[in-house]
Amino acid sequence: MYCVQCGVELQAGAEKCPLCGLRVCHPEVRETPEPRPYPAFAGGGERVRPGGLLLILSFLFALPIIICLMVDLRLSGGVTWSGYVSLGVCAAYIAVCLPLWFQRRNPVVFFPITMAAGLLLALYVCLKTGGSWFLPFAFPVGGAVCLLVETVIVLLRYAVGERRHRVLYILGGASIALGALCVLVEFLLRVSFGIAMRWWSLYPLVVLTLLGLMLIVIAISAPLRASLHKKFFI
Amino acid sequence: MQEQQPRTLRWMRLDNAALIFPAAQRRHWSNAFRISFSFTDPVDPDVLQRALGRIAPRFPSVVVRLRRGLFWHYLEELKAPPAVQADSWQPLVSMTGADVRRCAIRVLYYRDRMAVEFFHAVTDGTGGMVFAKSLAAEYVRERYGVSVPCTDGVKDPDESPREAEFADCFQENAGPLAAPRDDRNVYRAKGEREADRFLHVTTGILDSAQLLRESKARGVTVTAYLTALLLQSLMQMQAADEPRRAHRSPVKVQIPVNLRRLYGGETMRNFVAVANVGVDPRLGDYTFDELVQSVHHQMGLAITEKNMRAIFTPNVNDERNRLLKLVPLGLKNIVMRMVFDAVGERVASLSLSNLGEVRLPEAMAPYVTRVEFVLGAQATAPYNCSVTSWQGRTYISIVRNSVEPRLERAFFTALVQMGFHVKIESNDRS
Repeated sequence: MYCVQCGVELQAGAEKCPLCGLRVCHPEVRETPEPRPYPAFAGGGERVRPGGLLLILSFLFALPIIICLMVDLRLSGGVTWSGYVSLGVCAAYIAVCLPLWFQRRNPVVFFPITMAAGLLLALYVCLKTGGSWFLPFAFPVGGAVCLLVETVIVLLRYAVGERRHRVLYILGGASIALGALCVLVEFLLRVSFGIAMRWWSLYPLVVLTLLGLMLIVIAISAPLRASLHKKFFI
Repeated sequence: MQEQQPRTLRWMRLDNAALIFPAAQRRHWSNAFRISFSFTDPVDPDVLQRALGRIAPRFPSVVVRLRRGLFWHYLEELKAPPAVQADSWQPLVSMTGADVRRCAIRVLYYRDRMAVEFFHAVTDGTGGMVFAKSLAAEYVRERYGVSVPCTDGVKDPDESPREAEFADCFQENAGPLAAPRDDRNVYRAKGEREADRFLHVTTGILDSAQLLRESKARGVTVTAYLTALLLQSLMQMQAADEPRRAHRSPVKVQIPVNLRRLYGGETMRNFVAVANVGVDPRLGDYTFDELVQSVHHQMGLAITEKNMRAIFTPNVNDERNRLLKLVPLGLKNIVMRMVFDAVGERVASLSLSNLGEVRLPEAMAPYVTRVEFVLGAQATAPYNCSVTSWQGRTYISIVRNSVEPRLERAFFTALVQMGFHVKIESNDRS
């Protein structure tokens, strides 16, 4: 039997072409299966776990936490400054090392986890210092940044495909949203801390909106894209 | 009656090419290759074990285990040959450090096939083929009662090994000039790795005479012809990965060269160096004829006695460095591993190792239906390719440890388009 797609002869009785995966099917041809070139896969292939290097890296991250906690406990009899160090190192570990434990490092999953770790660290600092800025300021700003970046990651990963100019739409939209985020930050600074700085956020809003609109116009107009590419190719 | 003295086990320093392999070994990867012989009848494991027991003393540099010294690894002859094992669903199941400390080769059987897998620190393809032929010949003698003469690379199990078979020929042939190391910026095929490191082997079987005819029609060797086809396939893959031509990298194939042909010698250790040939796709598209001619001329320039000497001399110089000699093995391993990661595999996209037409004594040829050579995958890139021919058929094996068969498909369908009849076999798990 031959693969109609690749043109290669297949082993008698083969279920599919090993090159293209096309199922082999001919209702009028009955073949006695040839013996397999290797014993049949019996399953139980052990999934490869992350290497020793990651364990060493994890240990290197754990070391400052242990040392700081011990010194802090010894000097002040409790967890004071070492708490910041420990949670900070944990957040860094989640950002840097956690994805390395996985075969598929999808930023769509790992970015929100990293942001959540950062927000938790902020919450700890807020509670420890007796502040009240987490809920009115850090949480909404952090959440909005997370939402914006996550949306951009998802769109860049799944909505671009062959149509590369869609990147311009996404970045244009993200630029306008970033400008709006600056307004939100100013508003929350004003509400939470009483800091008023004469509508500074309007400047980045205007610049980023113009930049975003420009990117969107370029994305819409194919002749403009071609013309710009001609002028600015590297 | 005089009591027989216990035989002193022979031990050997690693040859120059072998030094890197123990250091580069990982938990799930080791540099290994496999040579297999298929017979007309199912393999009898007891007979195979007896044949192995009979030829093992003839090859004290092959039936060995790897041991650690304070400054270097070394090979130590085994008291008794390893037990033959049933084959696995994949070739070259990783030889872990613990495995090679017990025995650095494996003898396997499956249906009508016997296979020998070698840790590359022990020997190269040529040495491995001599061992495998001798084992197959002894098996045929025992199994069928045929008298097989010791010709065509089959060694006599009753004779003693010659000292020349243990020689590190790199040391004997190193020259005064070291060639600069190759460019490292080459295309490395991408692909999602199999989570359990399953090694796929896809073998294309084609007519040797037709392949030789097509190669001769272009005035090149079969190796040059197949290398050009691999380069073409790799360039197709890179073009799909990177549409922007300016961002592409040179595509290179590493061709191991049997140095015994250039410098003589009958060592059973490694005596092989590599020639890297390739093209730069940034310069434009190449026709197949252009690729074939380019590969042919590059091989002609690279594979000369003087040039190959300059290629392996830097490694010999490193080994001779007195300061390096005094560095403890643990530290050396770390440095060699870093060198391997940075230089070892990064100078080529993959290897194409062609053992050529296998010759066997006429008396055993009717019992051998197939001879195959499989090279292990690279540590950091998913593919490798190996070729051998027997009785008018050429077996091209492409191994990969990634999920998608991209190179195999491009390569074998190109052969089909050129008019070859290709039969495909694979160990895929459906």
